[in-house]
Amino acid sequence: MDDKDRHILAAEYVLDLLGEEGREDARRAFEEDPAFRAAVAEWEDDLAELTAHFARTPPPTLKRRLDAALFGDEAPADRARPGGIGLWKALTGAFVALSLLLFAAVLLRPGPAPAPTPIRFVAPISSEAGEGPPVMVEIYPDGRVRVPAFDPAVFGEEPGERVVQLWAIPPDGAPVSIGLVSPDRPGDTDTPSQFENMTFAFSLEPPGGSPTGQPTGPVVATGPVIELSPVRD
Amino acid sequence: MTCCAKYCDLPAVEKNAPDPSLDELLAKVGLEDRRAFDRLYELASPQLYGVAYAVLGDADEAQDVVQEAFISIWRRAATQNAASSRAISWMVIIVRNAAVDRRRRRRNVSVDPAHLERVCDAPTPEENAVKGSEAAHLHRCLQLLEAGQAKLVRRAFFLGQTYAEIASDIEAPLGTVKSRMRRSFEKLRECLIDQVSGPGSEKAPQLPADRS
Repeated sequence: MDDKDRHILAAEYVLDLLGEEGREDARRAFEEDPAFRAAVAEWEDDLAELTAHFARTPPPTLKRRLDAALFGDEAPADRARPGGIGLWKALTGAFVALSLLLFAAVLLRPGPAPAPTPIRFVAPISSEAGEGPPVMVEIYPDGRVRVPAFDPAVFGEEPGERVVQLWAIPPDGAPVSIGLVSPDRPGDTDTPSQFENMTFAFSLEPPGGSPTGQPTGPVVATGPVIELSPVRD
Repeated sequence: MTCCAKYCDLPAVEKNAPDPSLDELLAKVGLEDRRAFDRLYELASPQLYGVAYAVLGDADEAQDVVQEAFISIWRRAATQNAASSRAISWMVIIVRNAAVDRRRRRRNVSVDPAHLERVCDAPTPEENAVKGSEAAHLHRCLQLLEAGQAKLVRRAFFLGQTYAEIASDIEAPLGTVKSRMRRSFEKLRECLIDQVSGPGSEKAPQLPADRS
């Protein structure tokens, strides 16, 4: 293969123009020929320039989803809560007291230290009031649902005596309770369920949770359940 | 709507300033340095999200692709070595390939003409001017190709079509598409080499006079 052919094949390889058969030949050249690898690197540098004017800001939730998927959440750089800190502090005392009660009521138990378990789904639950970062709920392959600590101030409505209850809402069915949530500490629940195409929601309920098995108080935050695709290497 | 209004709500990662640091950051990411990863994301995610969005034309899908790509970048950073392409190029190609794969998995892969026009048209001079000289080199060299050929190169990049798919889409014989595109790659390579190693300056952004 002369230099000219090598460069043409390298461009075809980078762009994947050749279809199944040609792809194999190019892949073999990539493995065996250092000069071909160098030609590929040159085309990658040059063709990447085609994208230099396409920059676009990703939403801030994307980094949180990424950290949740890669590092099992609790990403320190990402947990700073912009704004709402004063209100958070004011509400903390009440929620600590309330959480002790909730804890005895026991639908949730304290979460273990974050483990690098692969996360199967995430649900960024955003306040209906449009305030603050979403609460990033994670769902593990074994059906465990992990809710991080969060600031209830983002709901734009003071819970007061009420408790926060987490629901899974199927596309065409009634909400199913996942459990009561204690905002000031992460918690896990083992509710086994299907999660595809679900929406998650928080409602504010009387102490002890909804008496009817369906949301009775205001729905203060909702978010889609997003399946994390396996990575192709 | 101009291409820039649609795709460029943030300046691109500046090509001429932080490139060395992107390479350094990627090397640190290879050592599982979380801080470096956060910074790499901060610097590179606008361009990478822009690439995914340009290929897919859909914000949700583009976000999924960028997330997958950064997971891949975290896991593969240690294998990326200095002899290969620059960090930003390596990441752009990862995102482009993931986005193209997702595009191919769609049930309906027919091409939306408006989307095609947006991504395959040459950038405006203003868009080009604010970028570093490397992007300007490529776009100048693309201008030297025969009419329509530069668009085919962009089309191959952003739609991820094979020769056969392009031929079918533009209703041209496969052999013709192949030979024209191969000639384009040849001319591009000559032009880019001339520009990078041209007389006098390592990065002289001048057009070779004999290639119009």
